[in-house]
This record gives sequence, C-alpha cells and structure tokens, in this order.
Amino acid sequence: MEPVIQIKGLTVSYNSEVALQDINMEIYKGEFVGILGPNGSGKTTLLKAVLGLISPAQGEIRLFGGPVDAAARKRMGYVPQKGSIDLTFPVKVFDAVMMGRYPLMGLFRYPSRSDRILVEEVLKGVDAWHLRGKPIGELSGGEAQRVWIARALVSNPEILLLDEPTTGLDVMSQGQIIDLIHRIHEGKGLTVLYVTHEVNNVSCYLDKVAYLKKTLYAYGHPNDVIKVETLREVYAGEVEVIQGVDRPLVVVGDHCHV
Amino acid sequence: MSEIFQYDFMRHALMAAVLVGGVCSIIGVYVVLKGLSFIGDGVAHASFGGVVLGFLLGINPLITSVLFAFIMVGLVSIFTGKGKMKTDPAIGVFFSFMMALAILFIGLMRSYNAELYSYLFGSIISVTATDLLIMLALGIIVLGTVAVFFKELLYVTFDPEMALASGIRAGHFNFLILALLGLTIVISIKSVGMILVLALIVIPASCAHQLTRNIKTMFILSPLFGITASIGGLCLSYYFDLPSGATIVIILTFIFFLTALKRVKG
Ligand SMILES: Nc1ncnc2c1ncn2[C@@H]1O[C@H](COP(=O)(O)OP(=O)(O)OP(=O)(O)O)[C@@H](O)[C@H]1O
Ligand SMILES: [Mg+2]
Repeated sequence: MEPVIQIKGLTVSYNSEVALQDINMEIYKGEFVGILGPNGSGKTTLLKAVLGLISPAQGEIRLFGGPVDAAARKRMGYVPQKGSIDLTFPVKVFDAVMMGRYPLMGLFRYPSRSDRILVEEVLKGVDAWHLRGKPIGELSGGEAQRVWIARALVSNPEILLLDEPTTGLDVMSQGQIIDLIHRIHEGKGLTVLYVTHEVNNVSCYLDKVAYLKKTLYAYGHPNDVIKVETLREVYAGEVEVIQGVDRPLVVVGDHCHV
Repeated sequence: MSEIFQYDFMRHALMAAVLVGGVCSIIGVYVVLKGLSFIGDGVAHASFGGVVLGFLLGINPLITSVLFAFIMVGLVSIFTGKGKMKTDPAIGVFFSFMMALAILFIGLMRSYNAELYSYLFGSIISVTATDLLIMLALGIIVLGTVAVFFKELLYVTFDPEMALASGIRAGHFNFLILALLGLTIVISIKSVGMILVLALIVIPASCAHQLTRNIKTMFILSPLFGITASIGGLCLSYYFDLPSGATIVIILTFIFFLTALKRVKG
C-alpha cells in the first residue's frame, strides 16, 4: 500500500539555520501519529513542510502519491499552533468555520444550504454549536480550540494536522479534545498527525509516535518507541518511563526530592 | 438642494463623489483589517508621481498614475516576498523614491501647472466627463473583482497562512488586494487629492469597525459612511466655497468620533 504522506530525506532550514535534517517517514491511511519533541525541535516546521507552507531545502514530500500542491492542500485540515490567529478580526464563529469550506466552493459561489448544514453538523460535533453567534475574540481558549478544529474538519479532509491543540487547556478540556479527535479518527478513518507535549494523554490512541529533535530519533509503535534511553537522549534530562497497566508512561525526573 | 445639480460640473462631481466614496470605503475594509495604511499612503504618493509625469508627457495623467501605482505595489511585493525584507522599511524606501520622482518631474516641467494642485489637494468639481469615464471603468474593475473573489479575499485578509494551507493561492490574492488598492487610489486622486485620499479609504471602514464585529455588516456600513460623507462634503464645499477633499475628510472624522461613542467592545 502506498503511504498517504511520504517524507524522503527532508531537510528544512530558516535562513541557513537547519530546523529539520534528513527526515524519513511514511504515514499510511488511517494512522494516528503523535509527534513529540522538546521546544524548538521542529514539530511545527514538519507540519508546515507537509502543507507546503515552507519549502524543503533538500528532500521531497509526497501527498496522496503526488506533489504538495493546492489540490493536495484541499484534502487536508490544519489546526495551527496557538497565537497565529487575529482574534480582533470581526467574524462570528459560524462564519469563521464556514471559511474552511471556501477553498472548495467555486468562484462567485456563496455558501449553499449544504455548506451551512455541514458547518452546523461539525460545530455540533465539537460541542460548539452554542457558540455560533459569538465573535471569535470573545471565546475562551478551549472554546476557540474547538472552533479551529471545526474549521479544519468542515472541508471533510482526509488528513488532519493538529499542532498542540490541547496546550493551555485545563485537564478536563484536554481530555475532551483528545476524545473528540479520537472519535473523528475512528469514525472517518482519518489520517491524523498530532503534535503534542503530553504523550501520556494520547498514547493509548496512537498508532505511531515520532520523537523529533532536528532529526528523527525514533519512529514506531508507542510500546517500542517510548523507552527511557530514547527520551533521555531527546530531552537531555532525567526522564523516567514507568510501565502502566497497558502501556509505558513518561514521568519527568523527580525534581521535588533532589 | 436639487438646483445645484443643474450644472454639468456639479452632476459630474456628484457622480464622482458616489463612485469615490463607494470604492474607497469598500477597499478600506481590507486596508483597515489587514493594516495596509502605510502602503496605501506610499501608493498615493507614487500615483501623484505618475500624474506629474502624465502632464510632463502630455498624456492623460490617470493612465500614468495607474502605471506608477502598480510599480510601487510591485516593488514592495518583490522586496518583501518570501520574508526577504520587512514591509515597513520596504515601503519607506520606495515611498521616498516615488516622491523624489514626482518632485523631479515637477522640476522638469519648468512652468507652473495649476491643475497639478487639484491632484495634490483634491478638487471634485474639476472632474471632467473623460475623467469620470475612466474612473467608472476602473471602479467597475475594482468592485467586480471584489465580488468575484470575495471569499478568497476575505480568507486571505483574516488568516493568510490558513488560507494558503487550505488550498487558496494566498500570495496571488495578497498581491490582488494591493493592486485593487492602487486602482482605488488612482480613481480617487483627482477628487480628494493625493494627501487626503488615504482618509477616504481608512476612515469609513474604521467607523464601521467601531460599530460591528461582523465583517458583512462592515461591508454595508463602510460605503454608507463613505458615500454620505462624500456627497455631504461636496454640497457643503459648494455652498460655502470650501476645498472639497478637506470638507469630506472633516465630515468623515466627525462620523468617526460619533461612532467611537457607540463602539462595541472587544
Ligand atoms: N520563522 C522562523 N524563522 C527562523 N527560525 C525559525 C522560524 N520558525 C521556527 N524557527 C526555528 O526552527 C526551529 C524549529 O522550530 P519549530 O517551531 O518547528 O519548533 P517546535 O518543535 O514546533 O517547538 P514548540 O514545541 O516550541 O512549538 C527552532 O529552532 C526555531 O527557532
Ligand atoms: Mg511548535
């Protein structure tokens, strides 16, 4: 079977500073892949390269067996890392989510009844329908995150790229967002790339885990990859891995009793 | 009030007021939300350079000013493309260059040209039938383009990175917004003048932004303010013999203060 995302020898640099070096990954249809690594390790850069927002210095990315182009982008949904959205922009939640459908409508076409129904379904699905009339600037962090997930889903993507969708949320909201993504993944057979710092919250759902720090340190099934040696190397610190009931759990070195 | 429109020049002026007020305030919504005031000012100065060149060469100044507006937009886009240079200094560099060209051309003219004055400070009653025809054609191009690409322009204005990520050619549309801004300035430069044209673009949309957090409402309120102020300014300037461009801008600023009192939070 051909991978939906194929990354071959990918190197990305910002002005001469290398952010990703010689990354090779194959992601297959329906996989739920977690991408982990310390701050500045290139996680966001990897997602942006997959979307073609940054062009590779070397290597190649192929999506759906073809090049990274506008047609491929229309088959993907993206939830960017927080902070890149202008929250003062005068737009209501419903219309902001509708924008996710714009690229699929023809020129001169305005949202049709079926577009509106889709927006309604997706907003209900992420439990944000009650927010539809609110200006985007008046949402809480967790509410906003649901709205951006809805915008990414409303185009019926085949690949969903999520950049730290739970960062800054309380424990319960984090759980709700992860369950939501898990349900969508299961229900629609979506391929998901999920960037996070909180591996324990999602590892039970993940098919694969990638540990990044400029290069790809490890990539494979969570049980094979979440190992104390790997983590100590990637995070360069006292990380422990303990065996949970069904899977390994990552704990940070004991700071309290040194 | 209708008796003032028995003269041809006043009828032309009225049509110019509606056209300029409408087109400026629609494009102004993008300018305000995207923060394009400075490039707008740069383009206004560049178009003035084009106007002077038109007089120097003896061709219709609106044609040369379109050319100069596009050169300005093109230069800034080339030098800021792919993050090569920050937008602000790039505009600063070419803004001054274009103004220097204008001054150079004025120097080359060697004779005083009173008509240049109206392009500098605006004189809506000196708009001729030919001017009006060119303005109308350009106005239809601008508003037509906005209508055709409304969704794309909106998405690119709101969130250019997401627009690109979801398959919209954001670079093209960013350039298109600047090109439309250039045409808008050319349409307006004779009526309100190079110095004041930015006000007619920025103030109506800013008034609308005070009153609503809904972009669609902004596209209705902004032209409402822009056209009302243009017609009002025209009438006042006729009755009291005032400079039309300045009168329009002062009315707009009053509207701005009024809307600020009713501002929505957020
Ligand atoms: N626009 C940019 N210009 C220059 N360097 C950049 C840019 N964006 C990222 N970098 C650099 O590239 C490297 C990788 O950044 P990236 O944003 O991909 O990290 P990340 O893994 O997403 O980090 P975080 O967990 O903090 O979000 C970092 O060293 C960063 O400083
Ligand atoms: Mg990041």
